[in-house]
Amino acid sequence: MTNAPENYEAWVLPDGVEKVSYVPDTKIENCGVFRLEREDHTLANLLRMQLIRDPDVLFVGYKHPHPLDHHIELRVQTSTNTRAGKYMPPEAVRVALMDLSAEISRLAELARRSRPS
Amino acid sequence: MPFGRNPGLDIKESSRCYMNFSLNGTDVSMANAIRRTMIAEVPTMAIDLVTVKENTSALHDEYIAHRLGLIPLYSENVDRFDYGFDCEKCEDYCAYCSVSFQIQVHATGDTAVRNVTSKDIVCTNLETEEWCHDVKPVHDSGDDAETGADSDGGNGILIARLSSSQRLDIRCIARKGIAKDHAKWSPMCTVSYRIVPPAVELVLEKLNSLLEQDAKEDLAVYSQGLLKVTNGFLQYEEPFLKGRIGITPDTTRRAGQLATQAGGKPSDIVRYNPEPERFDFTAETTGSMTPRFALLMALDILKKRVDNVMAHIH
Ligand SMILES: [Zn+2]
Repeated sequence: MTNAPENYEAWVLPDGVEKVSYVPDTKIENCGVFRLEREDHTLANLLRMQLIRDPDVLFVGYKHPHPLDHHIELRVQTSTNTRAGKYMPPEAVRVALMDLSAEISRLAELARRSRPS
Repeated sequence: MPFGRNPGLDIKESSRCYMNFSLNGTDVSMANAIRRTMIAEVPTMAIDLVTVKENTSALHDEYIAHRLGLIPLYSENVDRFDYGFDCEKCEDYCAYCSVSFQIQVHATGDTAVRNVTSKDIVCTNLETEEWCHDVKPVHDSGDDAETGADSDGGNGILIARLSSSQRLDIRCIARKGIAKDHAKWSPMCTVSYRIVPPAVELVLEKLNSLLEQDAKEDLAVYSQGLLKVTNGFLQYEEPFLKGRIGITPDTTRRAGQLATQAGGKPSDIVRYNPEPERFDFTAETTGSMTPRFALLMALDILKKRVDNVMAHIH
């Protein structure tokens, strides 16, 4: 009847769309933009703040390009001379996500155990 | 965990519709992610499809349909249902992705007004589909939350009022959804947190020793309910101490100006706390689930979200 998009399209990943894609920057070394499909400020800001804690991350920022777009763009630049050797943005993001996952698990466990006195 | 934290979470008070908890050892982004997830991503059941067979009430069909959608349905077993758009067992709706209700009220006799309330919403699923029968309308708006009475104790949520001989015959389909789709699916009325200590605080001892009496009163008036002058000393007002109001930039600016005029430095009279010590949360639900249940679900959803992105990073 109308061409209005279905409401669930805002949060359900459509078929054939990649959840995460990474485009390396052509001018700056160790830098690139992640496109996270069907994500919003909830995860983007969490990830940004976690990446800031990483001393080998030189730059991190995100944007939600338009209210009708249901993806976020996360730009990450990592240091080129780390002690551990090669450290590319996808690795930094993976480490940040691992830390967040562990933190949320811990919170869930605490919430499950916590009983009001 | 190279850059991980060791957060703490402590539930202070928890009842059917209301909960108080505090979060520590983490930062604003985590507090906000929990708040946002509880509000917009915890699924519940809500009436989504309404067929009006007969409506001779004073309210038009769409208005009643909208009111029905907003009635909370008890949804702690929401995980047993699939979302309507990806249910594999049906084309339209079935007992695995929806719950059916009907409302049949005929205002008979001479009674002036017959109230149609959430108590008139009757489940029409088969006896064997027992999981559907757990999804019941909530009959109060949290009035009984403090006494801990269950939701049947309320008077029911008013849907429409029929006068003599008016009739309502409605079929409803409740589906699973989240508040990103429509706010009726949010389990939460309120989720808010207060950062302790506040990011900006006034150093009252310094202000009190620096400022003249009239400057103190000037600041108290300017602060609009933040500060008062008692026995010649500036003190915080009750609402601030209880965390209901914060310090506005205008007040800090004015305090800085007055301090400068009195020969002090603006930097001496404000204290900046960049690291929040803890977040005091207040959470209230519509009755569709307990706030504690919503928090647990929110944390699981958030974790799945993070893990899902992690699985797709190459
Ligand atoms: Zn179905």
